[in-house]
Amino acid sequence: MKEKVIIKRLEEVIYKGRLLNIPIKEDHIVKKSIEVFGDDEPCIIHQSFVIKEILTNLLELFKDKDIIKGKDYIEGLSFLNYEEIESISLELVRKK
Amino acid sequence: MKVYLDNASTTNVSKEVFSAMLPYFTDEFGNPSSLHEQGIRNRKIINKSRILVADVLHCKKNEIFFTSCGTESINWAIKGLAYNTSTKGGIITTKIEHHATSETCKFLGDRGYSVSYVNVDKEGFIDLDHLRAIINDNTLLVTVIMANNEIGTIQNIKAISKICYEASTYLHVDAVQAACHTLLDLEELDVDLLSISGHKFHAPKGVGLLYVKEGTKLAPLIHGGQQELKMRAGTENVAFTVGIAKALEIGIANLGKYTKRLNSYSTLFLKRLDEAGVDYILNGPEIGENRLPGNLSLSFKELDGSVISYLLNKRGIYVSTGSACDSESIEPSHVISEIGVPIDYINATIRFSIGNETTLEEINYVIDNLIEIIKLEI
Repeated sequence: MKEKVIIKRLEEVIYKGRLLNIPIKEDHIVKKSIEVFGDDEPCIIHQSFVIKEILTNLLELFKDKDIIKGKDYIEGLSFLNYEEIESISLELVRKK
Repeated sequence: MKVYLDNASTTNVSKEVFSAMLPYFTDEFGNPSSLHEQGIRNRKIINKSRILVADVLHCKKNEIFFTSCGTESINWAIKGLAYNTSTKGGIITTKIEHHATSETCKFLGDRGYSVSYVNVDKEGFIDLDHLRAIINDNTLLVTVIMANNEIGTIQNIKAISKICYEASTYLHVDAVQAACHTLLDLEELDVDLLSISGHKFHAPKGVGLLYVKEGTKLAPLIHGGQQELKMRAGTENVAFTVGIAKALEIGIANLGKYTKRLNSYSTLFLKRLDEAGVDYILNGPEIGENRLPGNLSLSFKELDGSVISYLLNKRGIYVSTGSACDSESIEPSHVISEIGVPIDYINATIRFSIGNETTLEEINYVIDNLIEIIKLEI
């Protein structure tokens, strides 16, 4: 999970950094925590685990490409803490 | 392949133990306190279990008390002594104890007891000179972990016991990780109290033991009926009593072979990491008589332990990290912090705990995957 991600809205970079640090909606973490642990008040270690689960799913979307467009994955990217997912794109900078 | 390398957290109930316990869930359900055949048979089996435990640990049967877990045993030992003694108010412990001990000491510390900490070195061994220096006439109890659950350090209990004896101080030993994993002879160790948990050696979760040397003044923790010599009230868990006695008997009988096999697996593990050029630190003592067999607490340079354990989990490999849950952040455990693991290694501490049922094929599978993951994550 050393990969880096660049998120753009149109041509403007709105996030550039480690995959592990991308902004995720808090309520999505809770939703995922209920799914994984049956817990709606996850401790920080459980939150950390859940975030990795979310990111593993995200990496699946990049399986055969380096850039994905929000409009193609509105549901799959709904965890991102951004409005108007359809107008953003994500680029995965793979570890060389 | 699924590989369980988290045996220091818990173990499965072995088939032999399960078979021994089974009748007491269904057919033999009588209350051991009842004076009819069903009850009497169960009273007899509890007595037999107690005798078996006493035999394998080398103590008297009236010195063995069945509890619900290691944490209960530890709480009872420490609080039970404190509640029964008004003349001394000092407790000495270490900063590398399991939370069962450290939180119990803190509880008593908040209520006026004086809690002191004996130093440990970078491998986790107690500084015996420091213990001699801080033990005093007010010291009621020294409580230490015999075999550290995180880094596997096995203390010199006989030497600690001698210091406590000379200072007329009680010694409680948390032997939760030690039982069935290292020699545990109560006659030789000469301790006053000793705690054991069944699920660390293939008995079920929910059963433990407390050894209380004859003559030790301990207050009951649970009041009620006559069970456990009126020291621990509540209807006995007959099946689990049978289970822990059976598991202890098997574990102690197999200890020699178990130790040899697990130490050879641990040695292979480190050799292969060295050959692959992995940058790591083995926390705790070197593999051998002063380290729990099968315990490999490893810290990897400039990596994230939560990521490594997550990725291992995705490949069916189950391990623990040396992390603790703070309300705001994930911190290295108190044990890892106390022994001074360097800052560039401390965040990637993983405990691999090999068990009785681990195979060589599984060990090689884990090492192959670990090396691959580390290379991906560097």
